[in-house]
Amino acid sequence: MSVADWIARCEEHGLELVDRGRMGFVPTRLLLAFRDWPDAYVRPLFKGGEWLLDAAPSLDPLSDYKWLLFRRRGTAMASAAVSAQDGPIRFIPFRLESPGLTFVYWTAAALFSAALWVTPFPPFIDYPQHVAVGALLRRMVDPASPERALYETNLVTYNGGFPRRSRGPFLSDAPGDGGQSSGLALPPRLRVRRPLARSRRRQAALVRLLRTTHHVELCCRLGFATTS
Amino acid sequence: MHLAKRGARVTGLDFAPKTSTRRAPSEGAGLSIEFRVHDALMAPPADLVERFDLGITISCLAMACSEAAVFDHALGHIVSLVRPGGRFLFPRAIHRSRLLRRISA
Repeated sequence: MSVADWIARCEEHGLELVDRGRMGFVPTRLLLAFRDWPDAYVRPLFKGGEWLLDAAPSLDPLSDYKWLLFRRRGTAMASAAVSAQDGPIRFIPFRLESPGLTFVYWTAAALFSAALWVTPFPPFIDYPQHVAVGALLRRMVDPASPERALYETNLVTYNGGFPRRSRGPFLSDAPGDGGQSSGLALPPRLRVRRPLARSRRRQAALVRLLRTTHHVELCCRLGFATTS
Repeated sequence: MHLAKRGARVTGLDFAPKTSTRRAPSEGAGLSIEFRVHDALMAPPADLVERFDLGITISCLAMACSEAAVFDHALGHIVSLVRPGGRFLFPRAIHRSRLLRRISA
């Protein structure tokens, strides 16, 4: 909804617009988002951006937030009228972090993982093509393969872990084994990382470490899935 | 906490049960803030109706009530919490700026 929509709806509910403004100067917010600056820099920079927004109305498109201040009119909206609105309302039946939604999440994850045991080529987006490309790349492990004259691999991409993995002694020839491996590894990975990432006392260094290890593992796992 | 430090009597409502964990920082700062678990889509507690001089919603309407019907439903409940003549402040994200459109394009 636009700001105009907000105001119109609020007025329908007995509110009268008193004042409005903007906050969150986007260039400053972006600048502060890229580095954990000391507080001595953050405060003046942020306040400087807000001052600019106040001083120059033409900068309105560069504000990330708007604020609207209303006054409630008379007694038009009595509590009885509010209660009358409390009929059945159809919307999201699950709440974030509720047992029901958690159950649905893990059930969906289990169904997706189980599909990898039902067929080697479940209809996941990209997955069949990863397996197909993997078969091609597996042939390229042989120095005499003709594909080597046609293709080259890039170790820096997010799929770049496959050449090393493809030489591993544990790799099966069956297509889809890599997907099964990744599916089995997902729950324990989440069990370890989730509480760490959500810790209220997490440090920036820990978050960076998690991001890095996640990325490296992603490279290897996608590579593993690809080559199998 | 910002308002409570300036002498306001503050009540915080949130639908998440974890709301109670917010007590610790305010109590540690010697502030008396009442936190309650309440869903904006449910009728407000009778003892809170028309009790407040100022109401502030933070993300509730903008983020959790994006559908018009849900928005109206929640707004009606929130409005009833403020006494007639009281004020409402809605800080809300407007992600329609030129710069953000460029970034997300």
